[in-house]
Amino acid sequence: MDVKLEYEEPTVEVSVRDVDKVFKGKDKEVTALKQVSFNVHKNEVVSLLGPSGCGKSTLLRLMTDLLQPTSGSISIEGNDPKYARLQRKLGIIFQTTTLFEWRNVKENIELPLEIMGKSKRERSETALEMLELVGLSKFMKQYPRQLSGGMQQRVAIARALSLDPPILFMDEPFSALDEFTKEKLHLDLMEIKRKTKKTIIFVTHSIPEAVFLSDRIIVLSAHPGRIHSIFEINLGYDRKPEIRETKEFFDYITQVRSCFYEEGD
Amino acid sequence: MGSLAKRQNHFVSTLLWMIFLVAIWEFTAWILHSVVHINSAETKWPYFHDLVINIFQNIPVLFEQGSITFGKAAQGFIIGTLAGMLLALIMSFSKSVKYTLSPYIISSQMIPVIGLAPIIFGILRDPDLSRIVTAGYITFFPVTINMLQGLENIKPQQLELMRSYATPSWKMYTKFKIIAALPNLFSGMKIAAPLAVTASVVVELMGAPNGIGVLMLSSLYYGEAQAHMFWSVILICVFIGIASFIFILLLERIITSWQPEFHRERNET
Ligand SMILES: Nc1ncnc2c1ncn2[C@@H]1O[C@H](COP(=O)(O)OP(=O)(O)OP(=O)(O)O)[C@@H](O)[C@H]1O
Ligand SMILES: [Mg+2]
Repeated sequence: MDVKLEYEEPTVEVSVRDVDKVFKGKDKEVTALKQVSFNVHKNEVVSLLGPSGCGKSTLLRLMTDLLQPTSGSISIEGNDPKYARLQRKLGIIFQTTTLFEWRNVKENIELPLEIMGKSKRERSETALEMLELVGLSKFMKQYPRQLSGGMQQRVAIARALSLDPPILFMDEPFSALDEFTKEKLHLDLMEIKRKTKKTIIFVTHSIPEAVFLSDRIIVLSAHPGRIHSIFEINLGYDRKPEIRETKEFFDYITQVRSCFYEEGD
Repeated sequence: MGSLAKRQNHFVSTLLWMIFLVAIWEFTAWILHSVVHINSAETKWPYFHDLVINIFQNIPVLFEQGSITFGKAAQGFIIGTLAGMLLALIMSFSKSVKYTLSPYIISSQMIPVIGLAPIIFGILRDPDLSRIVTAGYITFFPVTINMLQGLENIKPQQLELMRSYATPSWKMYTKFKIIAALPNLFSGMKIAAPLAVTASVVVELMGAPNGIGVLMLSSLYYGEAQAHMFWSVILICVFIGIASFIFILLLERIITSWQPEFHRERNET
């Protein structure tokens, strides 16, 4: 199976071409992104890695039609991001919890389906299935305030998956969590990837996190944000926690880290 | 169980405070009446227990007139709240409406109630309608301003999330913005509720056939002889104001029970 995949031409899911993004303030302009181009293939996990302020979130917002590029173009499955958004092909997960405080866990997961106009039964079935997937079935009646940060993020993931979008966009989803919870959620995400075959675009500023999760890492440098380099991470498709102990894992980390030092700070 | 004990503690301390305040009132009255011997002490600072006795002796009339005032204020309050919510929704929906209306809304609030009441009364010439309209007029402003703030101070990432679901704009309001703005709406209503009662009383002072304001006027007219009655009426006004505030508070707890502040452990040290 793996062998066959290698010879198949991978389908381009997301394509970013020569994108510039300039924020125009009252008296000054901020160039958040300059000449950014890359492709993301189907079923691939790609991390956007870089220091704070290098434009990772901006790039994510451009791809999800929450912002418009100043120049250049972006396409999702061959169409523009707006079309993809209106077709509900984009699942987004943010760093801070975005659960709706007045809805319990199950109702939060049902919200996108409710907006789509799905029937009550269908909503309920999908929500239960998603809860099962993230292992929170027992907590479906709880309110967000009653959950730990890690559980809240798992609900947010379940909610994003409920629409079954082909692409997940995750903006530092685990940054606010402790190490233990983070590692647990990395494994959960691996399993979700295996079960649901999603394309995942993952923003992070943690090198080990990027190496563990990604097939490719796109390193951005700041001011203005541009692509510094791209790394292929060949650690296999389904990654176990033991990988974190291997030499290859550390080698990748060293390799990726080196590109932050050569800039001279 | 611990939380119950805490609640009881809270109740006891409130009670102690009230007893303390009454004691101070009584002590001040005693000084003025029996130590300093000021003129017409009954009008200036009656004993609290005299007022309580007076209230109990006049319960039927106070209750009857009080509920008339409260009823009119409540009607005006409800209408004003609905109008305020509607206005806030329209203003949040259209920026141009917002910027066109804002100066008028703000300047409308520059007219003091005491000047507004006779104007409204003069135009409408109906005491019931005047009370309702004045109470509504006073209510709509805090409701509009607070609700609008709630509709605009929405968590940006929740908004982005809703956009990513391709939410049609009316569902954006019914499923998200309005619910998120409810705590602000209630803040506005809590400010407005006692004001609506005051507005209703002020119209009654201008000449209505009934209501607590009329009792106030007539007891003022008889001077010292009705001094206790005057003070009792004031206490009843205060009571109605506080009661309406607490009513909104309870309503808020029921409707927006998800608000984090209703679930925080109270740490009293
Ligand atoms: N709406 C905006 N208006 C003006 N400037 C903005 C806006 N959003 C982002 N920027 C600027 O664009 C640059 C990139 O911001 P962005 O949030 O994309 O960074 P980031 O890589 O996500 O950082 P972090 O790791 O801290 O989240 C920053 O200099 C920021 O100040
Ligand atoms: Mg960011």
